[in-house]
Amino acid sequence: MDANTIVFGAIIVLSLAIFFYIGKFRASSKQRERDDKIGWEKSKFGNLKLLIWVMVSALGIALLANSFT
Amino acid sequence: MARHNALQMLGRSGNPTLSDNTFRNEGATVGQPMTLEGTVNKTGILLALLVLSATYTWNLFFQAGNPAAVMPAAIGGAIGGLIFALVTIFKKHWAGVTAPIYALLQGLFLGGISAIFESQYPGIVIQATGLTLGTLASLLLLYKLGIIKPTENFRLMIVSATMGIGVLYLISFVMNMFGSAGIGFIHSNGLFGIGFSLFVVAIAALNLVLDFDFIEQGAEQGAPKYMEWFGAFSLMVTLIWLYLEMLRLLAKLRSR
Repeated sequence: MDANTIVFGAIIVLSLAIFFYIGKFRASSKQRERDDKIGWEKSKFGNLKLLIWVMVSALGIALLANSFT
Repeated sequence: MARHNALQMLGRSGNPTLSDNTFRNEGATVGQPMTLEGTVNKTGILLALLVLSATYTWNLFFQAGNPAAVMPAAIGGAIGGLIFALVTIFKKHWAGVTAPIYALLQGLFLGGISAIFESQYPGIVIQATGLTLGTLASLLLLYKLGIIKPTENFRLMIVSATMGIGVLYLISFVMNMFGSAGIGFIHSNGLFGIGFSLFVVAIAALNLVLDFDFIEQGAEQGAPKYMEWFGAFSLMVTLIWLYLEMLRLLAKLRSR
């Protein structure tokens, strides 16, 4: 096993452990009790955003496919 | 009633899979509400499914030894994944079924693409995976501790940048269709190309913060249980994008 595998393997294991442990706890009160939280009721872009997401996905796939054909 | 009103207040994150109607019109929660633990567990299930199917195309490539062997499965997985992603977005209450299928299909795509990159740049896949998950864990910590605070301006900035990247990819694609080389710096391994990739990686990573905030607020407001699957799906969409951009960035750096 080379150093690359050991170092990045350790990062993967540690990161997953952090995600599965910390992810189950609520955010700090500093995060939750703010006046400037995102107002999720407002949609600035509506369906346009969905359209862009679809385009980005489709084009990303096409670009990657093109790279290898 | 208060809970119902709270649900009506919730809407959209920076992740395009999370629409303004995500929690709206779902009605009052019947049965158990969405929890953070449930969402994290379901993200784990989706990740496991993705790795499982990725292993198939990965092995297929290294057994055959050429990209043509995995392309049908990889492209099929990508297109199928896109279809199931759209179904999940429009039919959120189906997320418990469609999100795992999405993960399996995307796994086929990622396994094939990753194997091709690995054959060209040995060791790159574990680096990209480590950096992607490292970014996930770091940003989760920063979010939970309140060090990164997603605000309206933050969301506006991330959404605008994401759209800008989409338009740039679109222009490059259209140029390619007409026989042009496209926008060179997107794929170049020069300083400009690497700078662009770094920018895209940063934007993809910051989309994770919006996902965390959306999930946190969904759980806090007692959204329906199936929204755990939808939250996990949204996180997966961002993670897959981040991983692909990490691969591209590392490939550019290694090819210099």
